[in-house]
Formats: sequence, C-alpha cells, structure tokens
Amino acid sequence: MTEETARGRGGLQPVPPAFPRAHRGPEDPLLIIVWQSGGLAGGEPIRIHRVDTSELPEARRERLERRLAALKQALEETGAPVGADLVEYTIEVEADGVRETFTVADDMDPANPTVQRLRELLAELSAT
Amino acid sequence: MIVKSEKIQQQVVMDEARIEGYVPEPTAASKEELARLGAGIPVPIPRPIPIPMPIPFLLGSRFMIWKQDPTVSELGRRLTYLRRLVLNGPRDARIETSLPGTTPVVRNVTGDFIFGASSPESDCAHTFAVIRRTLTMWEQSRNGTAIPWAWNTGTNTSVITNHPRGFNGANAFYTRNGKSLSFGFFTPAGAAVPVFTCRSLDIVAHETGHAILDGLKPGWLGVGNVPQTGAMHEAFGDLTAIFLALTQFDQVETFVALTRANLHAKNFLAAVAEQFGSALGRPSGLRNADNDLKLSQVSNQVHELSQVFTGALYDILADIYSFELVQQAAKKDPTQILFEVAQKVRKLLLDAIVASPESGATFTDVANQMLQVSQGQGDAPIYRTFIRNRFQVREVLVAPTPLAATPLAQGLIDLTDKKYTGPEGDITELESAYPEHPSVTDGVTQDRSETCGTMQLPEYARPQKEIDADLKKLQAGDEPIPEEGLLVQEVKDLKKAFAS
Repeated sequence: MTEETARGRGGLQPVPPAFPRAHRGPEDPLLIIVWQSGGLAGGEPIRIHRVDTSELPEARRERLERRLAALKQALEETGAPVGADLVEYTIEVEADGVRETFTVADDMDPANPTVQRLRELLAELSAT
Repeated sequence: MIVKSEKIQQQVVMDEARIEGYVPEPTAASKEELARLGAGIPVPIPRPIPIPMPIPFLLGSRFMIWKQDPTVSELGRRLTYLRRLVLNGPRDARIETSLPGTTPVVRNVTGDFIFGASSPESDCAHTFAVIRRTLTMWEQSRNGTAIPWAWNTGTNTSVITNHPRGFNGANAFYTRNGKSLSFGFFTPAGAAVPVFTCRSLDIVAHETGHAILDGLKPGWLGVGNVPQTGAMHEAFGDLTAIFLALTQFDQVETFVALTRANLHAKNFLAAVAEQFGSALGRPSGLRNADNDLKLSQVSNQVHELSQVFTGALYDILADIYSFELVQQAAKKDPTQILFEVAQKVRKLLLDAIVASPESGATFTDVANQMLQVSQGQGDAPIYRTFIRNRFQVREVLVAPTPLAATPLAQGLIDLTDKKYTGPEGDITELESAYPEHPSVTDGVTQDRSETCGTMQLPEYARPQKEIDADLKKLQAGDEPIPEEGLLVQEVKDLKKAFAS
C-alpha cells in the first residue's frame, strides 16, 4: 500500500474528475486495487481485490468502469460517511501511467448513495 | 351501589361527629373580646395549611449487565441500577434501541429490564445500560452538564440509536451520519457459538466514547486532521472503557484484590475487549493499556498509535494511585482511593480535551493542557511531575533533562513529597519531543506534489467546510421522540443545555 493511501479515517482523499473517461477501449486498461482497513481492531490494510481490466471481457470491463464512475460521482455529491471504527476501502486506480487513490468509509447505511455505490463496485469486483 | 353510597355517607357523618368533639370552641368572653377588637374587620377566610408531601420517589430501572464480557468470569453478569426514567425500548431522552423483531423491549412490573443472558432482549438492555452509564459518567465529569451528540443543538435533541445486533461481522462502530452505534456479531473460526460485540462492556463504552468525543470536538473526525487526532479518538474510546469499569465499586474492589492494588499487575482492567481480542488471537485483549509503546515504535495506523497515549494515561493513573495510597492509606480503603483517583484523572483528561484545539489536536496539545488544567485546579505539583514524565517517556513531550538521569526514572522518587517536581521545575508547557513524526506531519499539507504517481487534483479534496455543512444538515432536522410527554421536562432541559 502506498504512503498516501494510509491517511485519514473515513474521510475523503482527493478524488479525480469523472474517471475512467467514457468509452475507454481495450487498449486503455485500468488496474484497480482495493485495500480494506479500519474497524475496531485496526491492523494493517489488507488487499482484497486486484483487477486488470485488460483481462476481462468487454461487457464486464464496461460494467466495472461504470460502477467505478458511479462511486466517484456519489462521493463528490454526497461524500463519505463520517464516523469512528468504520471499515474503510481505499481504491487505487491506475490508467495511462497515472494512479489515483480515494478512500471510502462504509457505515452500512443502505440509504447513503456512496455506500450503495461502494457495495455495487465491491460486488462487481468479487464477481470478476 | 345506592346502599354502598349511603353507608359511606353515614360513615362520613359519624367521623365528623367524632372530630367535632375535639374542635375547640371560643368561650363567650373570648367571643366578646373578638367582637370588640375586630368589629367591622372582615375575618380572614381560613385557608388549608399545606401538608408536606414526600418527594415522589423515582424508582429507576435495574438492568443485568456483563461487567466486562462473557469471558471475564470473575465478574460475570450483575445487576446495575439506573436512577432515571427508562421507557420501553429501552429508551430515554438521549438513547434509543433498535433490534427489528425484538424492540421495544418491555419493562417488567417493577420497571426492570432483566432477561436471560443469551436473549436478544438482554443484549438490548445490557447495551442500553452501558451506553447510558458511559454518557452519565462523562457528564458527571462536567459537573452534570449534558454532553450533546454531534447533531444536537438548542432545537435538536435527536437521540443516538443503539443497534446491539447491528450486522454480521467482527466490528463495532459509531457513525455520525447514521446517528448510531452499531455492534456486530460473528462466529470465530473453530468456535461453536458466536461472539456478540455488544456483550462487551469495553466495546460498548469505547464506541460510546467516540460519540461523546464527537459531540465535544466535532472537528476531530474527518479529513484535515493529523493521524494523532484520530488516535486521540481511539485512545479516548479505550480510556472510556477503563474509566467506566472504575466507576463501579464491585469492579474496583475485585481489581484491587486481584492485583494487590498494583495497576501494573496483569489485569482485566488494562486489557480492552478480552473476548473480541481472544477471537482475533490476541490473548491480552484487543489492546492493552498497560503497555510501554513510544511514538518511535508505532505506525500511523490510528489504533496502534492510540496505544501510546492510552499507555501514558494508564501510567499516570497508576502513579497518582501509588502516591495517593501512600498519602491516604491510613484514612481510606485502597478501593475507595482508586475510585476517587480515577474520577480525578478522568476529569483532568476531559477538561484538557475540551481546552485543546478544535481540530488537528496532537498528543502534545492534550498533554500540555493536562499540565495546565492540573495546575489551575491546584493539584499537588507531583501530579504534574507524573504527567510530564510519562509523556516524556512516550516521546510525546520533550525532556529537557535526560530521562535516565531523573530520580523518577531511577525509581528514587519520594512519594511522600507532594511538591516534587524533578530537576525541570513545575513546567506546564513543553515542546513536542518528536515534531517530525509522521503522525503529526502527515495530512497537514494539501500539497501532494511530492507524492509520486498521485494525481494533483486538490479541487477534488473534499474540504472540511463541506463536512461541516453536512453536520449542519444533521443538526437541522430534529426528530420527534415517541412518548415525549413522559420526557418533556428532560427534553426541555436538554434544549436549554445544548443552546448554551
């Protein structure tokens, strides 16, 4: 895990603009890495997903990119939940040689659009 | 019915006749005298003399709670008493309980919430009682002043919701957005029965501690804070659990007896969340307050970092207890002394936190405030010697004199000398011993130009003011309290307290 992703407690890290850009092709793969940290017990972050979209069928790749974009939009609009001992997911996305990182805390509130989008992304990554 | 009424009427007439014989009648001379003196003056109408009525006795409710958690068999499950109105739920003006299919949990005829140990009703009751006791404890440290939840204002007294079996998972958390405390349950690998985190007094107190600190210092959660601020939150949670145990005489007495009044002997008090820790393979609890960790030995992870502050506070508690044992041994029982010392240290910590910066507070900020509050309230100078020394050993405060050379470090301190200050004198403001430690530098600057590979997009860093705006939204919406009529005076008092 990189130094810059270890910060914060359920708050937001810098979020890049609508990313990934629309209509990415197979020649523009994304590398998505998700770390899980936080919780009452603390401890070192655990890498729970590492997906290279170049290895995915097109339909699945597009769905994953849409989920990622939706999460980022929700983050920008409603923000991440604020709290303590929340489980946090730090998402690293690398594309075009540039890596971006953002952290989302999960307060398990299904009414929170950010949490909902996060769940959808994690489910998509698990299915991949 | 008529016959009965006539009988009652007859009884009244007979009673009046009996009483009449005892009523003094003025004599003729007296009547003449009264007529002479008071002719023309209206005779005042006799008014009934108020008869003092006994003050209505508030019964309160009894709860059966786990005194530590199901694995700490020395203490087990005992009765606790809350001298306040607790409605079915359980709920009161500050806390409600939610467990679909179980709540509202109904009191018995004597107003008590007592259920079988493994029942969901018991989990609701236990968790409510511990949250309530935790809130009351910190409010007592503020001389009874109500502590608001982060969303409370003069017009918003919304409660916090307790979810004792909130989710399936090995965690428990506080969420400001959800205005709730949520406790998970899980079955550890190889175990036959699940662990319910809500049955741990330590975990419930810890999470409640987060909510209380968020009410006092809303700027301490969220971005823009250094890792030490987050670690202060975690330390406050763990210390809340320790202080809560020390508000209960039975726990204090058991602790004193088991350890022979030595806070550094292996004990259940310093071990936080024993059952949960054991399930994760940590034999001395999830964390242990009786540790020797220094800043240079921990990472930036807030729970790990927090142990430095928690450890220092625990040592200070132990030092002051040792000192007061020497001072008061002839007058008081060791149990009573520990009970009182814990109260004192708890208040000192809370006052120091309240006086610390509204955001970005560091261990050094709080330690210096402890020194200043201690001096301001006239504690013996040796108290501040303990505080300085312990934070110096932990690399939180700078040590002008090499620590190894001090009598304190050599164990030569005279515990009968209240005025002992060591070679430094009674200093109440010290620099950080480790100003370059990443836990106080990381996250301070938004300049990420040095961070390799990270996109430079500061406009997407959600500023603190937006988080503050979210909080304002939470504060705007007051929610009606069911059965508010029963709690009307309490709610009125809370609005007044939160407005000030």
